[in-house]
Amino acid sequence: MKDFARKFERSGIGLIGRTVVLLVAALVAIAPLPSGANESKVQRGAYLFQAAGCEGCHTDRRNKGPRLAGGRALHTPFGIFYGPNITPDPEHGLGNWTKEDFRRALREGISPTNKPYYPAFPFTSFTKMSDADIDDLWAYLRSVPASSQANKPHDLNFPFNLRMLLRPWRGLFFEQGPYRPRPDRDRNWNRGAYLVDALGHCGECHSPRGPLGQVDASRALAGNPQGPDNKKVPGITAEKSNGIGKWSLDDIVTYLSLGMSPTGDFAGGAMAEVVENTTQNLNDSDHQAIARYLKDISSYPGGLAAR
Amino acid sequence: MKPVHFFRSRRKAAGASVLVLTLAVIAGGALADIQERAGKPELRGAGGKLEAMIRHRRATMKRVGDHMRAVIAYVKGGPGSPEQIATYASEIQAIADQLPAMFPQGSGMDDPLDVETGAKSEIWANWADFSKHAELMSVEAAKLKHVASAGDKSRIGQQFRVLGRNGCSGCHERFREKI
Repeated sequence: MKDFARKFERSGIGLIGRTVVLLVAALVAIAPLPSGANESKVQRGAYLFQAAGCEGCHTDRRNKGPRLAGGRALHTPFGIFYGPNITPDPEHGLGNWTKEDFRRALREGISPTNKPYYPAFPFTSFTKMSDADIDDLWAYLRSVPASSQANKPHDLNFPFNLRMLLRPWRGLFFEQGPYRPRPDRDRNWNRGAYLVDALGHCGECHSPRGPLGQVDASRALAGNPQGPDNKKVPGITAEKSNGIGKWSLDDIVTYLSLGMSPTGDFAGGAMAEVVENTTQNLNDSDHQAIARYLKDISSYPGGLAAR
Repeated sequence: MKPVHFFRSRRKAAGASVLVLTLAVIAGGALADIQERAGKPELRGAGGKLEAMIRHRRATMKRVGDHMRAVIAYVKGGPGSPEQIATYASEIQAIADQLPAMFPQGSGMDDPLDVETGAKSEIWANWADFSKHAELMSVEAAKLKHVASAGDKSRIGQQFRVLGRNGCSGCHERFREKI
């Protein structure tokens, strides 16, 4: 700045000139973000969108439904959930939402009309997202084409169809707040934890659940005998008894990027979808971070719950 | 050292191709018979033809996996040659062409059989879609053979990815239960 001032004095612009320069600078600073900055927000948001696997539940791909317009069925022991429309349509999508509404939905699991969401929407994981990432994801969702497809109501068994039960459920099982990096682990490990536990919401399928549908944090990522669509989901910690316990870091990276296990088998079922929508689109350093984290977590029993 | 290794692998691969093709022909011939008699109880049990078919099917899938593994090892700088990759691709294509015949009615995971299988009953409920996946696998394997013959490693890597996604995972996503 001093150099700058000296240059201006030398060039003879003087006090008035400098005032004008400062004024212009101030105007630029308070003006709305130039489109370039928003573009890069949208780009970062597009990456986060993939890392968070939003496409899977919010697009009815099997029935060739419009992109992100919802309608995809998720069969659970509590009934059938249908992913809602998250395009910018004002009536059926998020068109009338504010950024704050969106932040609240992800961080707190509460809708703009103050209704608690069912944890089929993984706000229990997304609550760990950073404010900056929620912001960028919002910028991306504003940029996708709107669809006026109406939402399908969930088809839940009694008593789970009573939304008021979610209030006590939240009191018992929901811990709100962004991910706090563990100071005793390096950046790579913490990035892996963030990708797995916040964005990727891997535990929603790979962790066992209690009778009220709460993720059992003490056995995080240890496998789920009754996952979505009533399928058995394998554990993904480094325990040798898990399928991937014997995998090397490189084996995990290969699986994330290509969907191929060390035996040459290719992902199927819901995981084929996750590879397609999420893991294969992540960059190599994120693959490495996830592998690093997964290879490490079984050596710290209870570490996930304690964090 | 290298030519010897190459010769051995070629012979091994050729022998394996002959074996798989023979098995596939036998399987194809037995298919009509199996489908006709699938409902009959004497065909069931550990020694039944459907069980034999499932065992053969699983061994065949394992072979495809072994070849895929060898392809990616080569792409990542491991052993092998473009000629070898072309041989693997060609065998995967032959298997893909025989695949629908390896899934006779009554050989799914919901059928009362003595052998474990991850073949979901959706296969027979959506037979046209299932066969389309087998066709896709054949087409993508043929492309892999083509790029391997041209000897371009990076294109082999790209086509490997397409074959894995569309040929393998695309079908497993809907029709295969991991067992």
